[in-house]
Amino acid sequence: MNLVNFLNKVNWFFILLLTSISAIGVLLLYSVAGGSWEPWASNQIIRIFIGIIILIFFSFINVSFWYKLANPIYIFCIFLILLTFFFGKEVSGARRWIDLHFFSFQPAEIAKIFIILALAKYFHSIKLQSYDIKQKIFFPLLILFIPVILIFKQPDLGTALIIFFTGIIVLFLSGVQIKTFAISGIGGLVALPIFWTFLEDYQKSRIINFLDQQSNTLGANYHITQSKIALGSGGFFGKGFLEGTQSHLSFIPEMETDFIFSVLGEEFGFLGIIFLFFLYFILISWSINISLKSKNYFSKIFGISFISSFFIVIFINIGMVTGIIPVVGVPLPLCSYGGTAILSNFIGFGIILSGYNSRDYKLHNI
Amino acid sequence: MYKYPNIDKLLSRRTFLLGIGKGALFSTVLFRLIYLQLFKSEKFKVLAEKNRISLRLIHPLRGNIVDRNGKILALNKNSYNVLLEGNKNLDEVNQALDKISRIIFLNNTEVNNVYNNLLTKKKSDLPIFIKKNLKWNELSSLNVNLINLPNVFIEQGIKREYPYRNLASHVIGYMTTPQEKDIKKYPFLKLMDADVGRFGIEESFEKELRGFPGTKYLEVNAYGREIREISKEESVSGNEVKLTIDINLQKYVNSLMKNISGSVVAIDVNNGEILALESSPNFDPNLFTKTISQEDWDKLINNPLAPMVNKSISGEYSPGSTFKLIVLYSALINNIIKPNNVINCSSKINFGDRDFYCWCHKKKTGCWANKNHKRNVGPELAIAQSCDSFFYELAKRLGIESIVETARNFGLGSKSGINLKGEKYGLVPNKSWKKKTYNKSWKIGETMITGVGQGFLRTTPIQLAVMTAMFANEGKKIFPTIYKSFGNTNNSDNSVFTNQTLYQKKFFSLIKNAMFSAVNKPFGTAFKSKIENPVFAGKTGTVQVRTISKREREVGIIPNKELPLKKRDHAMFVGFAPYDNPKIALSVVVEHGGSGSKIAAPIAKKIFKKALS
Repeated sequence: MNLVNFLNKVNWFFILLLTSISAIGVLLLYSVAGGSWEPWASNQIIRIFIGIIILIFFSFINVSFWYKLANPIYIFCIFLILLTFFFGKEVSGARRWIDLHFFSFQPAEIAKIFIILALAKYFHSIKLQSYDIKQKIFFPLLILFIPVILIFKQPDLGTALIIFFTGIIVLFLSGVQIKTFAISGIGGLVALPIFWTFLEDYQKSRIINFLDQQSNTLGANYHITQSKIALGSGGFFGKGFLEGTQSHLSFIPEMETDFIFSVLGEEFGFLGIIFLFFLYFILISWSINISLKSKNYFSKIFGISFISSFFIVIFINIGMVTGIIPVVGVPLPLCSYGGTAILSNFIGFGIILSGYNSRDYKLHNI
Repeated sequence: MYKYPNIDKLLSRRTFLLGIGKGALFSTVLFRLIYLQLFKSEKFKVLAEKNRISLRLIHPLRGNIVDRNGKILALNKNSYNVLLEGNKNLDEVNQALDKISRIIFLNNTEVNNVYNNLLTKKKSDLPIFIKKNLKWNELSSLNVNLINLPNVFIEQGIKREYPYRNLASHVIGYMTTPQEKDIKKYPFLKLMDADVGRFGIEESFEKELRGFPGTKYLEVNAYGREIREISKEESVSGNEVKLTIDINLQKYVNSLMKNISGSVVAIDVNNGEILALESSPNFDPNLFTKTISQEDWDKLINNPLAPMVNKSISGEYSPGSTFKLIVLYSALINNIIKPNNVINCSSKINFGDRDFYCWCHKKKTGCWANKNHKRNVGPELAIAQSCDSFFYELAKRLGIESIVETARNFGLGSKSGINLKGEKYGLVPNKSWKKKTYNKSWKIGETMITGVGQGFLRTTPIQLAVMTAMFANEGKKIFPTIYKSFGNTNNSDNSVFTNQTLYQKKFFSLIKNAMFSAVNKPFGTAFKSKIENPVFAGKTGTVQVRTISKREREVGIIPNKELPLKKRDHAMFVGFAPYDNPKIALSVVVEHGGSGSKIAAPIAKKIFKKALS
């Protein structure tokens, strides 16, 4: 494979799309630091750069590699999550981080991808063996619930929920009957009060606060109120780059991570938001499109599930900052500051591209 | 049994269904954003500005109060107040109070004030005062912890200080937290959490002293810290008020009135300027600057000697013998008596069913006239030895209405118009007044009692001072005034006085001569207080506050010092000095002090000496 051949095979359009979205994030990080590359924007650029290299590298790996290693990597991820309980760095009462001194990461963010991968492999192998999925639902639920429960216990309600919803989507895509979902849904509602008792106090209060928005603007709801003020005051055209008052005067909390979307809305207005939405839309529909082109059920399931998970995270984040769902602490994909999230997304898209590039390769069950 | 379709087709179909689901979720977010950013944008723009911009009022400097020589009696000192950024809800306030009260002590009044302000200031966005006039240790511990106190800030304000403490406190007044009626009058008091002047000049010149607050718009961050100043309008300082009081004289007067309940008014006989106005006991206005403690307030209010009452303008006393000046003058101008006429003093007059006693009646020492067999009393002697019989007779001849007319001409029965709050009218009774008040007709006996300054008659010490001044200046109407100027405005009242002369001059010299004799002749009631420099003239008064029964007269009147304090006579003296060229008139009232000649006249002597040396 010579260089020209290599460069031709790189999915430049895809990379351009991802870079554009990430660039918006960098721009906002530059703004919230008061017009400075430090402390966030410069770090973020390095991560995006590493992410792109990983993406290109992964995209050239044959899909059979992922298929073969799906289970071991999954087990490794569970192992990493377990490690957080013993060696995790405690940040505001939660142990989500593993600190390797030169860099720290959240195993749950990485695990998200490999849980999908493991589920995709399972359903691919099922399909090769038998079409009767009905009796085989127990095993995928096990694959799903082990990490979900562990992550929920860290505690990281946001990520646990996202992985849970992603798992449900994988089950839905792979043909589990709609009737089953309906029954489980009703069962879930019944189980809700039991689930409630397992929640931490601050998680409970966040949900209560969300349901009781008018009376309390200070606690968790202060975040939502200030975020709404930022978005609303941005109006159609926004206040202009570096001109956001809600962000620069620190009224928006955690504006470099969870609430970065509010900064976008304040400085670039509705117009800026629509532009970001447009980029997200192209990215998502393009990803679905190339995933469906694969001849491998494994690649299809993974691609569509991953991109659906990607969409859910966007929805939860924006839903949260606009005040239509509770604050659950979920970053905006590709935009929010955060190494693990950026890298896990690039890894995910790398695997999608890997599936696309080896779409004609026929996977055999092993 | 359910038939599974081709699994790839199923996947495509489910992907499509999922897409619809995503579209639905996306729509909710989109509509939400349209609602927030397009429909509610204006509302949120206002909220964002409210977040960002903080309005601060700049306290104007209150005008100083100075005495006639420019000595500062009331001034401003820097103070430090701790405030909470405005537009905050209950939770934020609770949190801030909780944190602050761990650092400095907040009493209940202060905490309650915060919550009251929270209600009244809801719409103003102005900061809320938490504690005023921080002590140095409070200021420094708050400063250190300010980083952990979001939306709390320290502001430099002013507080009032009175360097002369108790001196002239009734004239100056004090500063206190405004009440409902003050806020109605000056609404910005509430917005600024400013104190309001109460009592004295601080109250009557509130508007001139206060000045106008400035405003400052600041950009603040989420923690209430100032980022930059957006705009500023400076405050306008209040005007200085210059009093007519001479604080040195006041100080001396104060020292003479130690442990005495009463009043001294010293007035310039030519222009009505009040040189000293002492109401005793007094209070320290500095107590009110730092929110006065309940204990201190109770002490002031429950004190039977009423330190919070300005007796000089609010105390209503029978004028006693000092009123004889009016009766004599009235008789002279009404031709009831000629200057050379005499009246026989029999020390007891029987009229109707009542006996009227002269003070010389059955006294061991006796009346001076009595002792020297000179029972025929003329006007000069009548004033000098304060012969009651003479004035019973004179009043009887004059009739009440004539006495009243003269009394009113000398300012009795009406407010003097001095710029101090709480002035009383006193009372000059006549027939119609008695009819109206008691629905009874006037009796001649009451006229006779009025003739010696007892009965219904009531005067304030300032009225007596004005009356005396008008005898001294021979009938020029004067209006007592307490201030010379405020800001650049001079008091026009004291330069333009009505130059109209009341009646004939010769009668005034007669009365002045009689007053001279009272002090400077051996038969005068105040002879013991006679001095050479300055030579002064005056009239004593000893005011009965009880009725002496017939039986007591027979067995002997109980001496004052054997009576309980509340039943002892008021000692009075009115006078002017120097005799040749009158400058100052005085009224001295010593509540339950005993006789005017023994108690009040010596005080007057010392004041004249001090004021004219």
